[in-house]
Amino acid sequence: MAVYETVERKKNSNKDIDLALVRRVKAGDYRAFDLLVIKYQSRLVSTALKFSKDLQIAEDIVQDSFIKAFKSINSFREDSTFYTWVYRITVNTAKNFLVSKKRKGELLATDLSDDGSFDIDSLETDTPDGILKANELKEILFDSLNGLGEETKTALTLREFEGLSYEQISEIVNCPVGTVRSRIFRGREVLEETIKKYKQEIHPNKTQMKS
Amino acid sequence: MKGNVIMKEKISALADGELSEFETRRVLEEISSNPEYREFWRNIQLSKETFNEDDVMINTRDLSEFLKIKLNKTKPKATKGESKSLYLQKKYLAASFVGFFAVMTYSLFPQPELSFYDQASEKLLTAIESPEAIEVLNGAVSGLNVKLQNLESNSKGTLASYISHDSGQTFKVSLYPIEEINKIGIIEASKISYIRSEDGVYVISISGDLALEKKNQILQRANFLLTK
Repeated sequence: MAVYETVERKKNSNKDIDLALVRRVKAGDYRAFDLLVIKYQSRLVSTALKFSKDLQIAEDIVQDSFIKAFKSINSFREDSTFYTWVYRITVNTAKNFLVSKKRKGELLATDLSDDGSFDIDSLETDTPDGILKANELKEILFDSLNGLGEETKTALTLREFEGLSYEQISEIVNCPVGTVRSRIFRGREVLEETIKKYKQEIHPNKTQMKS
Repeated sequence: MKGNVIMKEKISALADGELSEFETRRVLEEISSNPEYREFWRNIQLSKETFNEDDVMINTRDLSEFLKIKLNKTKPKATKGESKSLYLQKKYLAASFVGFFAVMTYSLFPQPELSFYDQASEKLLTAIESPEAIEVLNGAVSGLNVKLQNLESNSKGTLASYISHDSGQTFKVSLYPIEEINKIGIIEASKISYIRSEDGVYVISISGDLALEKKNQILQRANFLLTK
């Protein structure tokens, strides 16, 4: 029951965060959409890769999906999460890609049934170069988290794993909300350094985001 | 360096949905043009995903830069019922006179059972938003040490509720095209100003528990912002 509540709380918290950004996009603020792109691009490329089996094509599919999503953002009715909505767009774009590939005879008969349907879970999930399963990074990040000071670790853990708001955390740890915000930030700074080092190790020439 | 840390702390709070409307605007401006902040935002999302998801992909191409260039000047398609532009054409100018008399009538014969806020909220909730209006309202109250409490915005206009840090007083500022003046009851709005811009005529109104002097100041600033 507690686990269910945590999952729901985290889901709702994330939904609210995205919704605030989506509303800004609807109001004409592209910068908010930019943040949503950065937030979800990796996850969606991972989804598209299950269809295309080629990283570059997967990235193109996601790029097209974001363009479609932006152009039709006003039709997003906010009864689902932004991620679910853009995920559906990505899956449909990827499906169309497979259908066109099939038409061109570039697809194995087993990849797609005659009616164009398929089961996404049955698709192979190869791991190409430069893309890693989460386990290694997860392990490193957990080590980094455990190395944080007790107060910082507690604040970040309550936020990331319990989905609690800053105010709720401040009540639990009995300190001002501003202090919670600061502790979470300090924890994230350390995690960011860990991620940067990790990226540097696996891809020395491809770590920085281009300006 | 210190500014950098402060901004990153705000980005961290934004990732948790813990940033005020005002702060969010500033942060969006900064992230948009600063690669370091963009990377920080991306890495926060990556750590969140890593902790909570099974598969995480790193070192994929960053699509956001390409999309930013491609889409920045593009506008989303309007859905049905939203095709009416916020911007007024000059033909609406004549309506301003009708609107003016309507305001005067409402001011002289107030209907206390209906609040401006309620009526305006109801009307405003049903259409699309207008970023320019938000800019004007936020600009109008800059320097007044107030905090945005609530914002409702759509094609018919924008209504913002603020609270003063100094006195705790609350007030509401709204901006909408002149054509909407008859549809939105301006009952408690004790200060109203008409603003003529290249896009048409707007009405800005201020209601609530605020000194007359402050209301005038807001109106002047809004007028300047929209017409400059």
